[in-house]
Amino acid sequence: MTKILVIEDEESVRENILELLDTEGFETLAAKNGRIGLGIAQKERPDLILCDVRMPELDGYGVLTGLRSEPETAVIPFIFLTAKAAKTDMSFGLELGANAYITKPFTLVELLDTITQALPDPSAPATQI
Amino acid sequence: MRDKTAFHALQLMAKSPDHLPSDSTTEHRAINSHLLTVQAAMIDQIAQATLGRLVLDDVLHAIAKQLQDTLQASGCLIVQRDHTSNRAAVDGDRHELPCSSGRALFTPIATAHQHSRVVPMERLYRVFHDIYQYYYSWLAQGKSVTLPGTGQPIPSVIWNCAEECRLSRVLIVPLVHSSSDLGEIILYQCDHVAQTLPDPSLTVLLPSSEQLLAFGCDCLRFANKNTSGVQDTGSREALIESAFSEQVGGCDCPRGKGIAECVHHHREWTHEEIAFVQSIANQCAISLTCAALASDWSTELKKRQENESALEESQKRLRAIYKQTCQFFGLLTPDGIILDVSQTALDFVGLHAQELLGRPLWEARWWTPSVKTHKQLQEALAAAAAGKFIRYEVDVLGASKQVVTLDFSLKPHTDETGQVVLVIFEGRDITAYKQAQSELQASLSRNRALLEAIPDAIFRVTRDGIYLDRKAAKPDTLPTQSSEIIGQHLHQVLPTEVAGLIWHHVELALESNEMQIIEFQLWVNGKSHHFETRIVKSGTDEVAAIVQDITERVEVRVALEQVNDALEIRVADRTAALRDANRILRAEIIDRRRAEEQLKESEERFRNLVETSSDWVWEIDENAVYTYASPKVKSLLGYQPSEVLGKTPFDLMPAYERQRVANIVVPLATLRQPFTCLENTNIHKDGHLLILERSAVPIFDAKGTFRGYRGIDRDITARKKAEKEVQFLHSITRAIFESQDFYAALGVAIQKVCESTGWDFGEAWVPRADGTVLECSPAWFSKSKSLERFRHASQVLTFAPNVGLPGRVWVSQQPEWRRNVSTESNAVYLRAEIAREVGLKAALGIPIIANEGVLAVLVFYMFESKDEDQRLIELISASTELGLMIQRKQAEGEIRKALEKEKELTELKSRFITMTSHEFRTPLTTILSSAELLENYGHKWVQEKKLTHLHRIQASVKHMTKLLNDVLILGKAEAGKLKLNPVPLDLEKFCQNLVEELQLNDNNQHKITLACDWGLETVANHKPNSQFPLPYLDEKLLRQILENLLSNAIKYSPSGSIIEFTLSSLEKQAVFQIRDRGIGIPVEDRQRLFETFHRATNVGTIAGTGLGLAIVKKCVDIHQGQIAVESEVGVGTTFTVTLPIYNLVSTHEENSNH
Repeated sequence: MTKILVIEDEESVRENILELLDTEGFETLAAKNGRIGLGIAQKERPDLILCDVRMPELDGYGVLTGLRSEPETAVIPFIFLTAKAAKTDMSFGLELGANAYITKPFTLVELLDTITQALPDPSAPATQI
Repeated sequence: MRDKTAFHALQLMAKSPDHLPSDSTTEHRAINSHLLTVQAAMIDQIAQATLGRLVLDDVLHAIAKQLQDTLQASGCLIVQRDHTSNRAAVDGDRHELPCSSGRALFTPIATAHQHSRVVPMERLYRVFHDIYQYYYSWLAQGKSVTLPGTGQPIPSVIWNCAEECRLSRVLIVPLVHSSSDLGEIILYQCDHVAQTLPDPSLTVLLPSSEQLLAFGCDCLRFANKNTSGVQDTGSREALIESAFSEQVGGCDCPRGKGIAECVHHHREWTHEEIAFVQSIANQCAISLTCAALASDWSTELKKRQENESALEESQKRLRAIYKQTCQFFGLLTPDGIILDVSQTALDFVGLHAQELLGRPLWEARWWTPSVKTHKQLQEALAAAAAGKFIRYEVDVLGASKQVVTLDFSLKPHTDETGQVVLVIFEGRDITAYKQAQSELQASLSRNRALLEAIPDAIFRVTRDGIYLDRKAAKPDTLPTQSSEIIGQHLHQVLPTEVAGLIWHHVELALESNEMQIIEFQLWVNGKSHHFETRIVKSGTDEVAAIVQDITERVEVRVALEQVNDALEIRVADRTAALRDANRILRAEIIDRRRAEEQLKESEERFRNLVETSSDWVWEIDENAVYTYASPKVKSLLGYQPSEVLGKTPFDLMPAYERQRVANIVVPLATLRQPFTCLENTNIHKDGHLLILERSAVPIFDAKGTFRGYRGIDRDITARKKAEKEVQFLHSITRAIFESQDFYAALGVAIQKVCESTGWDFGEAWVPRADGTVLECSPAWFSKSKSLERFRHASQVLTFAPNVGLPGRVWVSQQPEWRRNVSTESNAVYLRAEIAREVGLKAALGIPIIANEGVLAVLVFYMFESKDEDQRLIELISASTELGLMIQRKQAEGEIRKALEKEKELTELKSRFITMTSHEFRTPLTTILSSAELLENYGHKWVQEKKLTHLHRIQASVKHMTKLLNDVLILGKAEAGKLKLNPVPLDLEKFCQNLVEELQLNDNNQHKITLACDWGLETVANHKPNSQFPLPYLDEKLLRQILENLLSNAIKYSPSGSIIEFTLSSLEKQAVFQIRDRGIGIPVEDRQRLFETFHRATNVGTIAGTGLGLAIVKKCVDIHQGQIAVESEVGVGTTFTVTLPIYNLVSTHEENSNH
């Protein structure tokens, strides 16, 4: 079962995402800020991480940088959830090693599509060892 | 010698008693009148002697003679007293009888005697002498002595003596003048027949008229006939006597009768006679005094003349000695400065002392003849300063530019310590000596030459060849003895060929009249001699032949010829070798010449370059003396190049500059360093100063010895002036840049122009915004306080276009200069009267133009009247620039402000948009996701879950609304659209309502306590017994402030905690304080607390827009209040807002608001 970590400071947004993922059959982990999120990620080794950019204590860029610096977590697919609409902000996130961006507000279909694309192809499990 | 017969006859007549006159009175009258005539003639004579026309001695002799004759006396003496000898005798023994002893008391100077055989003259003199001595003091008083009849007792001794001499009577009349007794006239009568007379004292003999007539004629005849040649004075006597005769002849009495009547033989002297003699004596005394004086004078004159000439002589001698011994001398300091110099030295050089004193000796004009003497003197001075005595001969220049040879010496003078303190210089002109010496040498050599030219023999030969004479200096000149050859023919003496040669030339000399020179050889004493003979015509048919032995000369000549021959042979040998060498040399020379030409060409090129260059090129030697100056120096400094040579660069500088330049250059020169662009001030020949820029490189000769500098000078006076102007402009520009606004810039410009260009007052007129008139700007400057009145007048004035000076400049956009505005008419200058009163005269209006518009008109005034100045043009350009700068400054300020504001707004907006978008997207995400979840999975969910999502959507919308409201308020505030609108407000009630409202929203989770001190204070302070007026505050702003602060307090503090809200007043201000016990604000966030969208780091999940406090701050600012915060994390936060209450601030506002 695919384990997804959601790091989002806005409670209503976080709850709605978790609800959707639960409904769609994903195992979910949640964190209300970057610092907690990074800790869970290193401990639980989720299959994918959804992360907000603007957060108190540790923002999304900090989480990503932290993950990419550890071999164990370096390859976890990472999707930014951002309210920033500017392309420049996205490119900065991608440079840091994010797999994708989802701009708020997003539809559930957009979210699921992005997650599916970021996850490794389940039909070719051989590549993943 | 008198005629003895006549004398004898007279004597006989005198003694015959038969010839007594019958009527004595008639006789007396005749005598008297005769005496007067004679007296006049005699006085005239004496007067002539006194005047110097006649010789006094002669006149006195004549007088004596005439007295004797006139008074028929035996004799008459005129004697001069010997004062020195008789005074001693008389003083010692006054009345003692004189005797034969002693010296003579007088000296006869004129005598006339009848010769007496009886009494010798010596005896008579002795008697007179005794009488004289006896009556000395009597006579000295000017009284006459008459014997007999003096009335004084005569000592018998004297009388006896007189008797012995047969003196019958004596008359002595003193010659007195100015109470000094010069001598006496003595008249006496010797009586041969005295012994026969019974009473000598009574004997009066008178001759008969005939006898007297005969006697008188005889006398005259005798006198006329016999005087000449008899005695020395004879001719003079004759002369005087004839003069006397003429005088006498001029009177009424006939000559013969007068004389006859004069003859009296009284024993006593009559009064007339005595008076007559006395008057003569007086005249004589005058004449004698005059003579004595004249003689004294002439003696003294002579003495003086002698003295004078002696003095002159000695002076001449001294001067000669002085000149000879010491031409000039002076004192010097050891380093050669002249302290003192003798007059001779000054005369010598033709200078005054002040021209020499204090200057070095070698600078005196004497030492100019050559550099050598100059150097020699300096070396000598150095040696003298070291204590040596120096003496040498030197040629120097005297006053009239003639060179004089000096025997020059320097003598050091030492003090007691042996230190040389003075040097005495002394010079002696030895030119004459030198000349004499050289002349002597010349004459010596001339003599020697003469000696050498003296012929060995000279002979004379006739045309026929016969020897006439011969003189030989040397014995061996000719083969024969001279005596042998005279009269012989040349051929007989000399060998045929020699004789023929000589004879031939003798003839030639005689014919041509020219000297002939021949040479011949002779054997003399067995030796061959060469002779040179010069043959000169010495008579019509003869010649002189001068023979000289030139054997030695000929021998030398022959030897020389021989040597020459030998040389010639050798020369021929050498010539060939030389020819070859020559060829090679010629080739070399051609090469050299080519090289030389090239050099010359390059030198010329260089010279052309140097001389046509606008810079002055120069060279100085190691002593900084100019050795070359290009012609350009004339146009730079006004000097010809030749005038500069010999000077140093320092000579052409003002004194203050010399030291400055020396300080820079000397260290460089010591190190032989080049220097560039050294600016230095120089004096032009016409006196004005100019600034030169000097660059130079050191010169070294082939041996590497330093030889001075070569360099160029450029006139940078104009550049410096331009630099100064640039500096002036620059200072204005900078001042304007640094000024805060347009008016400050104008003020600075006016001040700078006044200070730098001599204006006393300046102000600026600026066009009013609507462009109708010029107004007085606040910018002005005055050097004098007295001009404040003028300024006050300006401040109330405006100028329409073309009105007054500023108005005209405004329209014309051209500067305008007025020489003297105080005398202008109203049409030209409006404020002439005020200007006159405060004393302003010259005025200048300058437009400040930018973008073809006049920004301002600057007007300057001066206390003096002044003509338009060239400087004006500079000012115009400066002020135009100035205008541009001022305008740029003005525009710049506005643009920058606008830009800054715009930039600020843009930044704010972009940030606002970013922020807002972010803040809006989050609730939108919630709304969208909840809505979608409801849509997709709602049918599966329980009602409760559905409600959760619906509430989520509602909360998000609510948040968004709040956000929108806040953003709008903030936007309004930023745009300045939030205006203060104070209204009367019941603060207490307002606050209570607000608190209730918020508590309701909070569901009473927090307790808000409202403490209100407001009413009490207001009542106490203002209107105790009536309803106090409500404070004026802006309700909307106040609501924003208090609502945000209170809701924050609720939001960030735990449930159940108390929030204290206090309302109070302080000095007409309302004070609101809200204190919570919440999370607090970390220190690091406090600075950014009022920024939009900034939220403290410790807010966690507490919802918020980050705009609340920003709105609070804005509102407080608009209300012109203050906000303060105190906070501690985990303890709580207190916000204090202080707002002014408007109706208490100003009653005026209160009224207007009512």
